[in-house]
Amino acid sequence: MINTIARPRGRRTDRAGLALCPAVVSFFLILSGEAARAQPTFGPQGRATILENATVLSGSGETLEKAAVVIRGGVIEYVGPPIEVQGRTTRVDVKGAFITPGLIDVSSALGMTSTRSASPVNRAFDAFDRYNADVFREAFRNGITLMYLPAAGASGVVGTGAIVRLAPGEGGGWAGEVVKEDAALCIDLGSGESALRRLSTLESIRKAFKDARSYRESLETYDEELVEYEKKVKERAEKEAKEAKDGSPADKPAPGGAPTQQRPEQPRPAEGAKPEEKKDEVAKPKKPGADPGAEVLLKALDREMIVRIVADRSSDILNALDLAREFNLKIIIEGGSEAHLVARPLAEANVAVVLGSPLGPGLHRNDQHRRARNDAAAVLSEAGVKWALGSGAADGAQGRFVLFNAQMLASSAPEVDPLTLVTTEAAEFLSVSDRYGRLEPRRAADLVVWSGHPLEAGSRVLRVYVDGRLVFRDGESAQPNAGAEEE
Amino acid sequence: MKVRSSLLRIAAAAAVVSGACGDALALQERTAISAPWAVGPDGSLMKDVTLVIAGGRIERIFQGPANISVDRTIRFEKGVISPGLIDVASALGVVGDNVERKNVLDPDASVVEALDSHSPLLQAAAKAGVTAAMIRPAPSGVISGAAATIRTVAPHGVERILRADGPLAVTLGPGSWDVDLGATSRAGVLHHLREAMRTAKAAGGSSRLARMVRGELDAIVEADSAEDVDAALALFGQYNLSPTIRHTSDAVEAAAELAENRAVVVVGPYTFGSDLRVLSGPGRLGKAGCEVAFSGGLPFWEADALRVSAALAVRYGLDPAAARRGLTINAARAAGLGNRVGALTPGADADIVIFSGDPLRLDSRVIEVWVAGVRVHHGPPEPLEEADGWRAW
Repeated sequence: MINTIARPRGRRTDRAGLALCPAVVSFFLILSGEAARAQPTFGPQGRATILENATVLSGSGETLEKAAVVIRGGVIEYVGPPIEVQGRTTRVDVKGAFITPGLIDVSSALGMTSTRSASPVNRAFDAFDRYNADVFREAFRNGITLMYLPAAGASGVVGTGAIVRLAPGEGGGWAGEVVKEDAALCIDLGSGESALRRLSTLESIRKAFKDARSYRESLETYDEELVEYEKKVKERAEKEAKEAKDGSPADKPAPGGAPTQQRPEQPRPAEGAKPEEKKDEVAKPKKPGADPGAEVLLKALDREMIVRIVADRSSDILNALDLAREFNLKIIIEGGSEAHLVARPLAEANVAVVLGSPLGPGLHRNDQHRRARNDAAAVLSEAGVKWALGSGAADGAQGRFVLFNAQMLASSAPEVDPLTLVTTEAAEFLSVSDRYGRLEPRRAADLVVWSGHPLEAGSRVLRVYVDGRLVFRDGESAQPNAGAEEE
Repeated sequence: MKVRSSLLRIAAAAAVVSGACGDALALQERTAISAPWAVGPDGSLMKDVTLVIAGGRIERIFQGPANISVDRTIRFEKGVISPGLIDVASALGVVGDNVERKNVLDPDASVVEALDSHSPLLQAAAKAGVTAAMIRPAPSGVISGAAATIRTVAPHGVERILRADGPLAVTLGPGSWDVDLGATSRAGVLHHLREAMRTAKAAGGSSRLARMVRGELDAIVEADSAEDVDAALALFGQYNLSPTIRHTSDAVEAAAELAENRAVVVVGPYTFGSDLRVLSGPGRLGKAGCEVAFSGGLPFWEADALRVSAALAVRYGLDPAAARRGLTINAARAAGLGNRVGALTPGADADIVIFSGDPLRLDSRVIEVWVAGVRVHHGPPEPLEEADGWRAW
């Protein structure tokens, strides 16, 4: 809901002409408790940017015409009718333009360089080309500001994915900001490979999880043995102390003689001789070697980290569901070219699917995608399977067109709102909706100014703000750290 | 009425499935089709349009309220009437080797002879709103024969082949360099082509090459690099010819030269993987004054790839009206059929598509497809068949 600060109720419509006088605006500001708190901050705490005369599409299906958006300090401060803002301001008249939240890709390969290796310790962000200005520019040109990057490029347990925001670096240059590291454990069942290879991959994944469990057991055993060891060491120390106090025959002072000042030095064992073991000697348990890969898998086994499993064939998807049952994993299916064929089991297991781009090669399709259907989303919805849409491409360049993908999908599922799909719903899917995906006060100031309605042909991106900073303007990337705008 | 509507749907679906049958009577009926929007001949969107179709052709087109006597009236409350889309440089129905690979010059080959009219790929294209395709010989020789333009769906009584004898397909660039052919370099290809054109002109007669040199038969030249564009324009310019150039990669560099050629430039296919420089080509061509037509690369890409190509070109700078022309009338012109298909103009064949919205919007879907005044596709796609065996491979 946009209506958090000062937007009058009943004004969120397609109606034109919100010509409210300042007094009315003030009235609403006073009415709103939020506004009462917010109004002082409209004062001089950093420069505010005011985008005026825009049509605001909130990302959740709402439209506000002739609206103003105030951003300051990387946060959206106000969305609503025209407003006076105190303090230092930069006013930008974007008459006729549309403003949306920054678009979100729930599975992208943008800027990724494939590692072609599979290990739980691989991190997707390490493969992200964070200083490639072309990647950022092309993403902004198509309105994208946030994306989930999977570890990809091999079969098996590939690594961990990250949620990355295309924010400019503090020290200048492009950098990207990791919003969530270890956002998911990435597994690829290798649907494009031969049947035997896929079985082998699956077995290696099962073994990895079993090994992780064994690793945990060995750690637990070590902990127990360590406790036992310390207990015994303590007991022995106490026993020795007691014996020292009571006096052993050796330690007892000679009758009438002076007490022994110090214990006589133990005779040193002869060279090469085995040290004589005491009967009550306790062996110190050996600590198992650290296994960072298993540590990552344990987070998945503890359901602290979601597991995204790339599986296109129906058989692989069912195998993924079996894997989840066997190890009690929280999983999401990625790709899912044949997910519509196994919609029922997916629904029963309450497992969501990230669908890839609806545009694919059409001819001689004799691979894992040959049964893909454009209306798969509709079939999944009807079966009660939750789904999201990602560009999901192995080719990073394809990650730019998340809104086109959503529009293509909507052509076969008319109930889908493409814009909501790649903003609000995408943010919810990634569990980052507290800060991203909606154009509302207190959310991150990641927003896109379009020349026309973003779904219309011919609309282009005029401006992109990330973290409140102008990062793209009229077809060219702004200087990432400039921050300044026209007054 | 509901029953009738259902029956119509079934009949229409059957027509699409068979690809050969249709409502022959419809050819005789005088039908008015109206919709809130239509794609005008200049590619812009016209409001409140009514088409009158008779004898398989568009009889009249007018805006505003219509008061005419027709056998039946079909009104769409929403949607856009568009000329049927045309994919230029496609391989629909002629997948595989459709030319001899051993001949450097093969002007007498006709790709239409390799057409498989029953290919299901043709029907898939029709359902996506592509009613015609120019199929061209594989670019393996310097001159590889005559392209042809076909309808993707042809009910009974409607022509499948719109044009069988051209344009003549010429290829410059690495596609035509082959040790088996004799030309193994750019210079070698140009030498072969130059000599062939010179000889044909000197010999005269009615061979395709002679007709091409005299300007009686059009040509489409595949020239993917800017230097091949320069070479093609220089060579054909010696004969005062302006061939259609198919050029996708370096259009940013060659836009000015192509504009001087004053012929349609065929671009695409573009996909979500195309890079910035390539995608910027159509916009640059448009600004230089070129008219573009799109190839969607069917059927190597899905049938929607044609509209995707146009939508991407628009995102990267091409005017939307120019892009709509590129899907329709410019494609028809490139195929040498500009007077017959590709525009909602009186006298043109009634090959039309009703989209739910602007054809350039990728969320627009095909509502109906008509070919020569016969409805061949109607309504939403058929429901998904039940999955048989979850573990099917």
